[in-house]
Amino acid sequence: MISRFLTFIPNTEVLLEYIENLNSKRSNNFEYIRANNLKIKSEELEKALIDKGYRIDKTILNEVFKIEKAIDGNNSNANILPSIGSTLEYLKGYYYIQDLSSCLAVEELGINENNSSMVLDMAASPGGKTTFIAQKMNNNGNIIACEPNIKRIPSLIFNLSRCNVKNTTIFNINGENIDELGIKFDRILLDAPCSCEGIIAKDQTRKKSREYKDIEICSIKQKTLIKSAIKVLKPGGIMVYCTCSFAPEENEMIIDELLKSNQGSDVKIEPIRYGIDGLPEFKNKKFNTDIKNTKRLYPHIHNTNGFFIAKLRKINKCLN
Amino acid sequence: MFKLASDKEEAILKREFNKWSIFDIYKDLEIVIKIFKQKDPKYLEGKLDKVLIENNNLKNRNKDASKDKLKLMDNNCNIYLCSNKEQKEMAIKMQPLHTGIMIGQIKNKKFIPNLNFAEIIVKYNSTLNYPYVILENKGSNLVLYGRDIMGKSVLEFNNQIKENQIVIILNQKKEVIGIGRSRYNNKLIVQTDKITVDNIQDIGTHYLKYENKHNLKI
Repeated sequence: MISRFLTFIPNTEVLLEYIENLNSKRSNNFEYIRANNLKIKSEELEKALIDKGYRIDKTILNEVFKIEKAIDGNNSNANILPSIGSTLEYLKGYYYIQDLSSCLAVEELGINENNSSMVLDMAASPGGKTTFIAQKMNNNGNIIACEPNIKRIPSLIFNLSRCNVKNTTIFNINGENIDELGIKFDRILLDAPCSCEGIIAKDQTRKKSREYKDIEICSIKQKTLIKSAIKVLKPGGIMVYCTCSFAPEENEMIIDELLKSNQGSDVKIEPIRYGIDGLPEFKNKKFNTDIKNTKRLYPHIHNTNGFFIAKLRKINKCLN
Repeated sequence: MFKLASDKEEAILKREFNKWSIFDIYKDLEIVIKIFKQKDPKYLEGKLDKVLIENNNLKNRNKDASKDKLKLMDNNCNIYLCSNKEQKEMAIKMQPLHTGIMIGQIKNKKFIPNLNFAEIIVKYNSTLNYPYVILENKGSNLVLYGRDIMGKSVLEFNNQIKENQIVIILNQKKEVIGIGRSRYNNKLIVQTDKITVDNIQDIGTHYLKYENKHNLKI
């Protein structure tokens, strides 16, 4: 599977070197956390964690910090510090361990706290992006969180409760059947189920645990999900499609096929601020020129998981 | 099934909000309740049979058992707090799996608060005129691992704590870390070398359980 990367990932050898380095320095590995502003201000959390002995760096998003144990000689307590997932602050829901790339996807939804939007999170568990959306809305408006797998719902409920998210309603429904709810949405986040190639730097088993067949299965599912999502998006509404996969079959090809379908005339691809432009072509197949507006994030370039984000707006034909 | 609180359930909730001195905020809250089906544990373990035999109710055994079971199903419910009226109406109309945050349960006509309810109390009642204990750091850490509270860990407490009463467990920063039940009243809460408050629910236990489950798989 890794050999495929040569055909579409820039500086592949640097990526492989990055993965090896990260693996050898496992103990000093960094994570990203997102301050939960429903419970604490970002600055207060930053101070509390620095006081405990963690090293905190700011990122391009105000709520998101890069965090690691400060093992630099100045901090003799580093080895006895709890893991970042078992501090009191974590249990209190003051932060969520979440990669910067995931937060950027939510950021692109363009949500503000004063509107009373109806937002859909199509594959919600375990609730990382749902809680960030709720935070952006300041617990106003409504979020519909869909999760088809009943076994994953307890972790979603736990995280919503831990983060004090009140504006979310959970349905045990497959995203493909979302129109059965009879609701139209202002914003939709489709973090599509994928082969998760993008987390290869953190989970090396991904090198061998996935086959091309898995990508094909995911791709079929993603095509259905994105079409179902567009159906329930209000005119003028925004949908963000994202995956934590490098595979063009799960990313650009899905968007390209949507644009070619009957629904293609209803949507346009809007530009995104962060990342490298989406691939213009793959396997000698040229994509729609608007695909360049989608973005890719790479571990060795952006210090995040491998990620793909596309921002789609449903055209309001009445206005045109 | 999600539904609006009945008059009886409202009365129970209002009484509870009043008890914790946060009655004023009740009218502004969007509350829905969800009836849940709970099988009587006594009935499941065969204990109900034993109880009925002891009560010489052999004759009406089957009739009473089914009646008791139904009574539990009717009276028990989870209480959910929604963000707005629209969300509340959606829950009643569309019957989702979950909505808002759960703040407690009504079981056998009694309200049983959970950690989210404790958070609401601490947020809206800054005067601390409710049953609480504040623990020193070591005691606070132990509570997060599910341990009960020794009297020597208690730095501060409410003077009106009675025996067998629900108390809110706070750390030195006055953050909610759990809910407990007092074993003693008033000053006896601080007696050394004795467990004086039982830990009912704490913010650590749920996560640690989950973490251990995950580790076992590896």
